[in-house]
Amino acid sequence: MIFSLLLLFAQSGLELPPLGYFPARDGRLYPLYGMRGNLVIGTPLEEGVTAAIRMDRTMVTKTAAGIVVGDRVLDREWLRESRVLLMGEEGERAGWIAAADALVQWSSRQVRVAMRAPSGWELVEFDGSTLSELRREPVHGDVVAVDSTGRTWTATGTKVGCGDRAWEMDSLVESLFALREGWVLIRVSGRLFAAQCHAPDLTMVPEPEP
Amino acid sequence: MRALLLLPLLALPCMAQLEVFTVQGTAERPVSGLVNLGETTTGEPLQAVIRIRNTSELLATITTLSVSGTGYSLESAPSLPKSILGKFSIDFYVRFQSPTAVSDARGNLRINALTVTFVAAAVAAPSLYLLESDGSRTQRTAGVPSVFPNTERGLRSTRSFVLENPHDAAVRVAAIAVSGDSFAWNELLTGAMDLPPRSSRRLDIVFRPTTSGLKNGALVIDGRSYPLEGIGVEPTPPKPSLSLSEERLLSGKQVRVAVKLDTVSRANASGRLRLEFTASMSGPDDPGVLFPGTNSRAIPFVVREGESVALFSGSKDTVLQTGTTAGTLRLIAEVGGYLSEASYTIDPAPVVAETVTVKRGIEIMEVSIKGYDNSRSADQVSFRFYNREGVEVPPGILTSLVAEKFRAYYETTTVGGMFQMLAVFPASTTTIAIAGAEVEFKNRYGISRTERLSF
Repeated sequence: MIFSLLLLFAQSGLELPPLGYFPARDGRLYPLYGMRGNLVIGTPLEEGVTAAIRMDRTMVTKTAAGIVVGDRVLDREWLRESRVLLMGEEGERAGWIAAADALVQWSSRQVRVAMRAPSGWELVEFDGSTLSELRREPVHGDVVAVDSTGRTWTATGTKVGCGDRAWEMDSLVESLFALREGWVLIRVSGRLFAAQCHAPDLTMVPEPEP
Repeated sequence: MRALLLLPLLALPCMAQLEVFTVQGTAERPVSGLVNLGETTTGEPLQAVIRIRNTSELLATITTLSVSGTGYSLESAPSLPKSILGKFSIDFYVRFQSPTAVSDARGNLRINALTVTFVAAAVAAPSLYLLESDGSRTQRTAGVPSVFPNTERGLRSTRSFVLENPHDAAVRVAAIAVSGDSFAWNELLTGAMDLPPRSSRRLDIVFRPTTSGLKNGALVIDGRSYPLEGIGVEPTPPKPSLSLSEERLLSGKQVRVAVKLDTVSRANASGRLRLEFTASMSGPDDPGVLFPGTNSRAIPFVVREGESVALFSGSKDTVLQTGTTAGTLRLIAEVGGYLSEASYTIDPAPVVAETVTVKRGIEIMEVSIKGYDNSRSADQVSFRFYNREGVEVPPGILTSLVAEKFRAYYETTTVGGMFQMLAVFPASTTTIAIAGAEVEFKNRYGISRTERLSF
């Protein structure tokens, strides 16, 4: 077995790819870069963009007008049903889950999302190719999210956890927001922390003051 | 000062073109022959505003303006001769003040050829003096404020007064009191007070503001009000000092910073903690060196009364992110005129590979590494692959010289010393036998190697 080595810097070598785009407390959507212990935010997306994902070099954004893929606007009428919007290399996909009103990104055969139903939170699994619903099950928690590795995160009161790992926050968990690489953002009382299920660290996310 | 009691008098022309009035507020009353100023106490003035109006169109001139009679004087009178344009007027005061009791004190005001008679009375009363710090004393009259020194909220200051009976007969003070929330007797004083002839009594009044700002009160003696004034000021906060959760700062960390106070604060104050960062090498700044709470290099804090540590949005410390660049980090806390600072060195270190992800294809291996090089001096990266038995897979160590690639990357990076690198390894056969890998970086400050990754 003979190897040769080709060394590349990701994304043309100029910058880290963002971990994702998150809504900051000033209402704008920011790209987040970094790792445990060192997170940096980039320039916010234009006002009115409420969600965004990036696959390879293509941006998908959600605005009041609908979903914008590149320079194409998919209006709300077209988005009444779930849609696969982009297909990347090695099975990575980005799509619109109508029932969850969410942009999602996945690379497995199924995609799971957490949805709030009148009776409480539910985990809903969709077929990764057709986005047809496969099954749903209730999940207990005040706030629930599914990270990019498929793990379920739940928060009840001040306690948030995934699998066997749990963190006790100093105030009520208000929201959970999943990014790439298994990162989940935990919002508590005006502050935002980032965590990954496999590590005990909480890293505070820089946020501009509102 | 006592209110004036002015009796209505018949208006009479004082000269061919000059008329005389008393003035109260905006109301004028023509003066005929007699003005009754009323009654006051000894030492307290009575006064009336006198207006002379030229009712003609011609210029009029006052050549004589004087007042006679014990205790009478003119205040703000014009120098003579004084000309008054047609339809214009001038104002001045006729004042009466007597150190002794008198029941019918008369004074004559002369305006050119006209004479107006004033009548007043003074009853015996004690005189009030304010003692100064140098031992001197100044007589106080009703309506004139006595000013206390600026006093910190929650503390107190005292001013001393002397109530003196200058008369040969005893005088009685029927009622004496201090009013105003911020003023009080130093020793409680109630009821009537008899002062023997030629005697005096010291009165100490304390000023004890509970909030900051101008405070008003009064010393009221038999209805005569002597205003008291003082300004409550915010106490100065204690001197701050900086405290870090870590003794030594390293890159890629979030540490906690507290601003401690050398005593429990009596003050409520606002302050600011800021940082300055000087990288130990040239190149773009590291935006990761910041306070995440504000996404900037400054963060506000407050000092609260009763606390010995500053509060950041209610928390006793705040998070400082050290970034991923070696250099010197200077922290500066500013509050209440104090400035406290401390410098910390973040030493250059070997490369840190924070996350290594391996993706295996049939005839290809991809290794993605996310990490940071805080000296921005990486020049070599090496890879070793292992089979399931832990034996190194031929051809053994695979090394790439990366100095130029990293140098070009760090010339334009906007994320400090962080990088993400993808290494692709085409293989001549299936990669299924490969079960582990190690990655090694070398920079100017040493060699770092990841643990063996199993996959």
